[in-house]
Amino acid sequence: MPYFFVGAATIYLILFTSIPLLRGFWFSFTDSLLLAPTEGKFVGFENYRRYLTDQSFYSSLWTTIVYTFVVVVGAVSLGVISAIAINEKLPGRAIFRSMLTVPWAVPGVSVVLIYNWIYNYDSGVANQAVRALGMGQKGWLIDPSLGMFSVAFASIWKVFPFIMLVVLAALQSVPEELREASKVDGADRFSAFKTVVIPHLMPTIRVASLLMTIWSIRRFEIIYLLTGGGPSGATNTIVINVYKQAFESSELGRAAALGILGLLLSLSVTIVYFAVDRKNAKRDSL
Amino acid sequence: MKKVSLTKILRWIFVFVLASFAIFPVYWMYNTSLTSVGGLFGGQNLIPRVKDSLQIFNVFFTEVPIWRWLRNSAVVALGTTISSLAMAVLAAYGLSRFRFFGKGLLGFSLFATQMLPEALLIVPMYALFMSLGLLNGFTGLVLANTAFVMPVAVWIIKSAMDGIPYEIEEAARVDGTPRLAVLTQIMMPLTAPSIAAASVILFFDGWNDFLFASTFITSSEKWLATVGLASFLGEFVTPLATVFSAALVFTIPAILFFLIMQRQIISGLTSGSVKG
Amino acid sequence: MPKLIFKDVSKSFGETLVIKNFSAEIPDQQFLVLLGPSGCGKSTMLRMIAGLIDITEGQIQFDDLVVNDLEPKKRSVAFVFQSYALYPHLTVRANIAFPLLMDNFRWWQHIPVVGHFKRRADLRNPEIQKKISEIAETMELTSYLNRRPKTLSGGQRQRVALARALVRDPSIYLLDEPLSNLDAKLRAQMRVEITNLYQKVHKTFVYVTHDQVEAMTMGTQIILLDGGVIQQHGTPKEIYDKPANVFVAKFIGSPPMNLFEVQVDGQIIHLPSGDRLDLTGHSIPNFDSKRVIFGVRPEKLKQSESGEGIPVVVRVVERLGAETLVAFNFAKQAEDSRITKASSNLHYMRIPGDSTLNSGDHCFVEFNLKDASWFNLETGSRFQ
Repeated sequence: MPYFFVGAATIYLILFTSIPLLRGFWFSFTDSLLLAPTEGKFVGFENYRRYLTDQSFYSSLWTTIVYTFVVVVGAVSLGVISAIAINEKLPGRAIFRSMLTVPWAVPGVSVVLIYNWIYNYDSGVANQAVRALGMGQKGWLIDPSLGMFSVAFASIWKVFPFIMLVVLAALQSVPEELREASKVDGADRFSAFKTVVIPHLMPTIRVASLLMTIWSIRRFEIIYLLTGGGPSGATNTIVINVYKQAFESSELGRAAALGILGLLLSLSVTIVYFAVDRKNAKRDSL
Repeated sequence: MKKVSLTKILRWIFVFVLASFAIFPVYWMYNTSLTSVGGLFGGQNLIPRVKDSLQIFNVFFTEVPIWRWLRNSAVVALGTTISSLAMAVLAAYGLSRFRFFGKGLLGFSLFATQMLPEALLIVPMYALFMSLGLLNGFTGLVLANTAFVMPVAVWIIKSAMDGIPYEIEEAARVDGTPRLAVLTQIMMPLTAPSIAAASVILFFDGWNDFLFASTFITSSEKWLATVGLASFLGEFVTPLATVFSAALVFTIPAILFFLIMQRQIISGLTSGSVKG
Repeated sequence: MPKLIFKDVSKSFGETLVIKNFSAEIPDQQFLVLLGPSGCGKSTMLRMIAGLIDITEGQIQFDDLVVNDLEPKKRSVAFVFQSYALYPHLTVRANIAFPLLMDNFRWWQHIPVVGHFKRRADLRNPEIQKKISEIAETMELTSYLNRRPKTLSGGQRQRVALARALVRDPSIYLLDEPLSNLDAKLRAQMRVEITNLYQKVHKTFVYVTHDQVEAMTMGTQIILLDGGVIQQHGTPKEIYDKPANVFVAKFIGSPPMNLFEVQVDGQIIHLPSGDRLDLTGHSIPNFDSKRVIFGVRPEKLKQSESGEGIPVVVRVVERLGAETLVAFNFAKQAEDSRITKASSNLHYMRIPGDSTLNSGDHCFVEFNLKDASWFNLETGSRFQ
């Protein structure tokens, strides 16, 4: 009986997720090309060997880590701050909350269109502002030292509302007795916040950070459409690299190997997360 | 008159700044869509003309085939929603109410799909769809999007069903309700808010899809709105006002639905992820 | 109109055995109470009768029909749940009519919206309407028919749940702690209503509870369960007067039966305090051992006027108006402070309400040894 209910979804996942994943795994050991994927020869670990001995792989890996780190830290702190700021009564709170939610709903392609225009070298509003401050023109999407910042900024803008909403939901579930108890114990607002609210939020923030990390590692369209991995590789994350290997260089085998390496990165983050989580859970229960 | 404390004013200003930061790019998109070519390069006017708002809909009467793009996007989005929802509701019920061999593995796989980079799976999927003749068609897009977003819907709906007491279901069975009707007559109405939230996520996953649409679709007749809008990037022929009008027409439905359903979406996502 | 027969019914969830070899025969039209502490398996038993969970071993029969593999629907049972389990999205009317609506459910009702309109059309069916209004009248729900369950009070929800059970005219009513979510006053009232209902429909009722007052007042038969095993099956009076073992003796009665580990010496028994009771003139069973457990109900004890009996120290006095409950220690044990602290060493007597005893008083207690109970020290079971 249960198999009747889960059957369709299971078969679907096997057909369109598991099998492609296994096939991708197989491709990673071949020299297949895009137009003739089945005609590749088995080359063993050659694809992996080439990446692991190639400096550009490590710089791509580093770019991925930097991008992920910046976006997660930025989005989580901005999200938590926003949530705390609008949690209490405030004139116009409902409107502010809606305004703060909007970026989350904006489709990635629209995000790219608008930031591409904001970052425009000659007439973008970013440079208008910078000029007004007397700091000259910035090549937001052209200057290799700024590319990562610009892309990460747009990404943070798009995803921080998710953190905000999740944290806001958690804030509203702080048991009232806990707050009252700490008030009775004579805690001032700040220390009550530190000892009661923050510990209550931590599990939520941890899970949201994990999701945010995994999503950042695999983020594609904002980076690809905004810079295409440029300027000069400044935003060339592994996922961008995989796509370009497959669909621009047509090297399916090499792309698959890189994709597997990227997957290993996500996997190790998750494993570390659950290991830490278990340790925390143990500590909390003591 | 109640005394308004300084900290309260400061906090209000702080929130105002945050909210402006969040809304500015969308506002700028709107502002740009109402600015003539000449106005753009002489420094854009910060104040919009509210009475001209409806001008963004003029985009439907320009060269840009936005109507067709939106229709294509809607087809893919609806297809993704329907196919995912049908499987997700059934699977969520099975996962929520039964113990069976392989349950743990299935639950884990649903989470694991969140880790898979689309860019990795798109390679073997491309090969698969090529052999099935599904490239350059909406079916392929629906199938690919469903694979990535259906697990999220299972997640949301399952956590809602977990909250329905067993006794209600037992009552229905004693009352002679067939098993499938327990799902459609009792469980689904009771989890309707979460199912609606999942539908919004599913629909806009299809609506927003760029990666699969740009990779699988080759003929511009079948472009989705995302691909069409992305084609404006690095192209200087179409006036920016038109580009951003098109982008707005494409974006507004998403904003509206997410705002309406945000509470359900968040509660579904969090209760699902904190547990699983 | 079935007789309910259990043959060696067992149930295990994975490794844990929750019901062990449950065998019993319940004649038709009985009000059977399954009584026991929480976790004793009584709700599991009820769900097996309903067909909501599978039976691991043994069989359940309605007369000659083995129902093990029958769907709940085919067993002609109605179930009233502890939480009432009303359908929150449906009106009271649709809740009560739900079993009838399911009788002519068509596959296309799975389609959203379509199903909704089919339901509304069914509710307008004159036959269904007639039945609903009859039952609503008996349960005094007529003015609430168009409301949703969450706008009703606890007692009203309870009545909706009962109405939903009535509508199908089942041959067995199953009730799972239906009163435990109500306040004390309402509970007493609903107890009467359910008893009235039983007398009116005169079908088999199986009623699960942990409350001995409900069991004693409502049941015509009681099965007392502990750890998934039947401890005793009998009428309320049998269970009260002749508990089958020490567990039953302790579980039934409030305060429970006084139990003493005693040494038997001919017609004399030695209490643990060293006091002696003379049994001359009372018939006592044949013991195979010198040490037995002696049990006597609190109402069989009384304060001695004459200064005869056993000296005791009064610890707690509870005045209930009509009667007074007195908890005491034996005077000879009271000096040992380590023992007096343990409440397990307290014994009880039930005496008239006009008693003037106060805690700390010393007095003498007489035992009425007629109908005393005797239990095997090792096995805890009763000597007949």
